[in-house]
Amino acid sequence: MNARVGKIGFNIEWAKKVGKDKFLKHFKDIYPDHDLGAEYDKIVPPKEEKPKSGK
Amino acid sequence: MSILNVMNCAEAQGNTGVAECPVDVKLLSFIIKVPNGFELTEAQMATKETALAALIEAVNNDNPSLRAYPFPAQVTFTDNSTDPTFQTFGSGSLGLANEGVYDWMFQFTQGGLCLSNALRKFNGGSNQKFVVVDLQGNLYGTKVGTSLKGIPSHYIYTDKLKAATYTEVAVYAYRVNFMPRYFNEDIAFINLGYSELAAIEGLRNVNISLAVTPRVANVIKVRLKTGCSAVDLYTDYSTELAAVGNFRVSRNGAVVTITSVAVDANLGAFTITLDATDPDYNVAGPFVVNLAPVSVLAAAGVVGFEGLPLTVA
Repeated sequence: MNARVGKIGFNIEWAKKVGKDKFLKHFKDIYPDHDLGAEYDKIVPPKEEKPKSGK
Repeated sequence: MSILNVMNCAEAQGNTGVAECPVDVKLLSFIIKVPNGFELTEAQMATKETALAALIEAVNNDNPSLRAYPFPAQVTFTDNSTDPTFQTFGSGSLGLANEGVYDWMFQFTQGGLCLSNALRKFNGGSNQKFVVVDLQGNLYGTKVGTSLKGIPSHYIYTDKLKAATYTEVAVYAYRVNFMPRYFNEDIAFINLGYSELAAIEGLRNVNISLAVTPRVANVIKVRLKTGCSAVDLYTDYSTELAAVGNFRVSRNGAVVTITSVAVDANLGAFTITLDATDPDYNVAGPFVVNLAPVSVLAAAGVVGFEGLPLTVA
């Protein structure tokens, strides 16, 4: 699809329900030029790794 | 306190030291067809602002059968009301047999044939009610208790267009016919300001069409243009409309999950993607695509529009 894609309104509820992998798989051919990983991370921010306590 | 049947005498120019100033019905401008249950309550008529808000809410009701419909302002008003009929007795005295009825015709030019055809969809309806606005900004209905209600009509009829001639433009007009008591003994009025009332616009239909045919699996691309003037909503509302909440897709009456709505700048269209794993989805379709209800669109900043559903094979 060679659409010049502008704003995308994602279904946030659906995205949270299906998870990142299914989200990426669902949209990869529809919005091939978009950083879908980053889009998903906006919806569900990745958990920050707790720094290991050092001595 | 209510503003029902209150004349704002303080603002009437040329009057000095008067205790009362009578209502004088000025030139009537347009009607608003209202649903049978329409009512402006005492609470809603506490102020001009609350009354206007209630009227605007009625015009933007999600349910078409509960909605109020502003008709266009007249460029010519014709009073075809019938005169009272008197019976002459053998003695020569007269008795009133029939008071006659009001019959008002409002010729309009705004909106032309497209609007006329939209108004003609109300022809033939029974038990139709209306309120009417005059040039001083009074809204007239009928008084029931402390409320203002719609005036019951015998008909609200939009005539077939009369073709233009070398000396006259095409004539578009609507008529109302009703019993005199509703505009005399039972009259109700509130002054809301003419410009404020004239600014209340009816909803505009939005035609939904496919931007790409045929549909590609779970991806549907649509354009949105208004019904009469074909104004493209993409131009003014592309950002606001690119949200899943602004669209509805169904199949066999069951809602199909929309996973995204995106702006397609190349086509000036909107890309709607469906969840192919939704149990109500079937790649064979057909799907019915529509906009969200009026109130949902308005909350998104797209005010005054109602979609007409599109069936997509």
